[in-house]
Amino acid sequence: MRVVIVEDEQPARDLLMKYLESEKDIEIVDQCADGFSAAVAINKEKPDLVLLDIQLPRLNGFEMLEVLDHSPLIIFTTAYDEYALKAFEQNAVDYLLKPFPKDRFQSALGKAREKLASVGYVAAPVSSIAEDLSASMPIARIVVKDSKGIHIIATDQIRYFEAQDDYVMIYSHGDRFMKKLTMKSLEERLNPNQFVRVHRSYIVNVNEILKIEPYEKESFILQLNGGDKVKGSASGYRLLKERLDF
Amino acid sequence: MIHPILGNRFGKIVFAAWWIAVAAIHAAVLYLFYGVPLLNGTIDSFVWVVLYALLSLGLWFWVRLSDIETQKPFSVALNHIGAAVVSILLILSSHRYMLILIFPDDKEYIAFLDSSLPGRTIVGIFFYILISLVYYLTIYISNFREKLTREAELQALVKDAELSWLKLQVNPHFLFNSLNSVSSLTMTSPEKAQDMITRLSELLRYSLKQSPGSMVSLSDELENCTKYLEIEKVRFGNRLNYGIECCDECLAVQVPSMILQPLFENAIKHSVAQSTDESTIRATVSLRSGYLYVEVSNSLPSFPTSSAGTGVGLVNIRRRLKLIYGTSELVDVRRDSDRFVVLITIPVK
Repeated sequence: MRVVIVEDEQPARDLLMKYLESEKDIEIVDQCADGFSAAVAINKEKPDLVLLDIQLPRLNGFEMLEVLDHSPLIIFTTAYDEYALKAFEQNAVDYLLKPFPKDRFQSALGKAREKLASVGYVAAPVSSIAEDLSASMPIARIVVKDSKGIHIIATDQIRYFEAQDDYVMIYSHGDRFMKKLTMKSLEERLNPNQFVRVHRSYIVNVNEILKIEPYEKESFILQLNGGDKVKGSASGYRLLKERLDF
Repeated sequence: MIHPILGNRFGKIVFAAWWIAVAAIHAAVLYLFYGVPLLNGTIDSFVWVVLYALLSLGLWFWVRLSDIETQKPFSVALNHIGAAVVSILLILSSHRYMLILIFPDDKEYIAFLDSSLPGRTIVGIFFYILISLVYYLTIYISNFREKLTREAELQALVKDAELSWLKLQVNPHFLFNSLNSVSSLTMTSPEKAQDMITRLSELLRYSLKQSPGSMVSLSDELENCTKYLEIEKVRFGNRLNYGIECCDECLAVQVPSMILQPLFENAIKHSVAQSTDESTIRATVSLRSGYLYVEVSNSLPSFPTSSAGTGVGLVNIRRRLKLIYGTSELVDVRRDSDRFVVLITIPVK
């Protein structure tokens, strides 16, 4: 099995290496100390198995999974027990709580081998937006992958979102990105004081609004920084009025 | 405190019912025992009762002014004797004046009015005392109720503080990640593992020894923080750099125990844990005009972080300082160009 280790703490990495020493069928193709370089490495190396920590610099474990175009088997290794459910939703092979003994690690590897050997195994693609790791806090960044690479967009830099079928178009300062996402899940995870769903198809960063003009019956037009215009509905107007307090 | 009669609907109803009843009895007594004609008696009673109703509404403010708990009994008594004499004289004379206006030619009734003055004075004094007593009782009951709810709130707060204190003492993620490092070191470098276990034990012993209200010297607190940072350094290696500056006279100052470690935990959470580059955590402690200032700052990662730091980790510190010093102004959070800075102020006793 070809394995990539994603772990930001040196001692924890050493431990995994020690545990893997005696496994003859394992080839360690890369070790990464953060989520971003891990995503790049996994997309390049296409390993069979990834040993993945969750709390990582730059991109956390779940965010990293979002931008993979290859679906390896995943064994999570973390000190946090609260993400186990989410991990298994992501089709994790196993979820190891630090510190874990060698035999527990070996049984996880055993499961991975079995899964790899089973005919027709296809890992489910990851699509939902990653939960922020600090539970109830709104997300402050979104990770997107396109032909040019992986982009990490701070939500402050986003002017508005536009729904396009199963995708959402993200308009940031100077660029735009597409991501498979529903407006509803996006709306729930963004900071409600900053982002308002003004229309079925639009979520707008209130700091980017220059002007609100009435338009036809029951609707209005928002003029944004940079010249873009966005349509708003009657319920969107009420929401905006409530949030901006005018 | 709102007016017990005007301030609520139930009060108004009871008040109206009471004075209607008094008026009815008064009229009946005049008619049955003193042979006053029904018309005269009814008007007499009506005017009488309206005057006393007005007095009792106003008396509330007088009772509030003459608070038994804050003023001397002598001055309260004097207040009331004065007020009673003035108000009863006023009521008796205006009552008599109005009824003579209404029945100017009824000699027999006017004679009765004059003869009834002593009796009316006694009834007036009785009403005055009754009304004041009812008001004082109302105030007493409401104060008592308020005290009960306040006590319950305080108890809930203390319990809450104790619970969060327990959580504060041992951050499970820190503990398990450190134990994982120990687990690794036992294989790669047993001596370092032993060091780490010793430090962890000292850290745990220190935090278990403290209670929410206990005070320790700043030097003890800083020593504990250094142990904490050294353990984190084993986990994060070169990514974590720290420096602590402290004036010599600060070291002996008594501070609430376990107040500094959460500051460093917070700094690590928002810098080292978010970045693969080297992060620096700096602490400076200074003493100025009766206050100890502890400033802990961390460098900011160059990447956008997954969630905006809203200082949730600092809530516990703010709450504890508020419980101990009674003001919520002791924690200040700001963002300098490339650093996140938390400043706490501790009054020196």
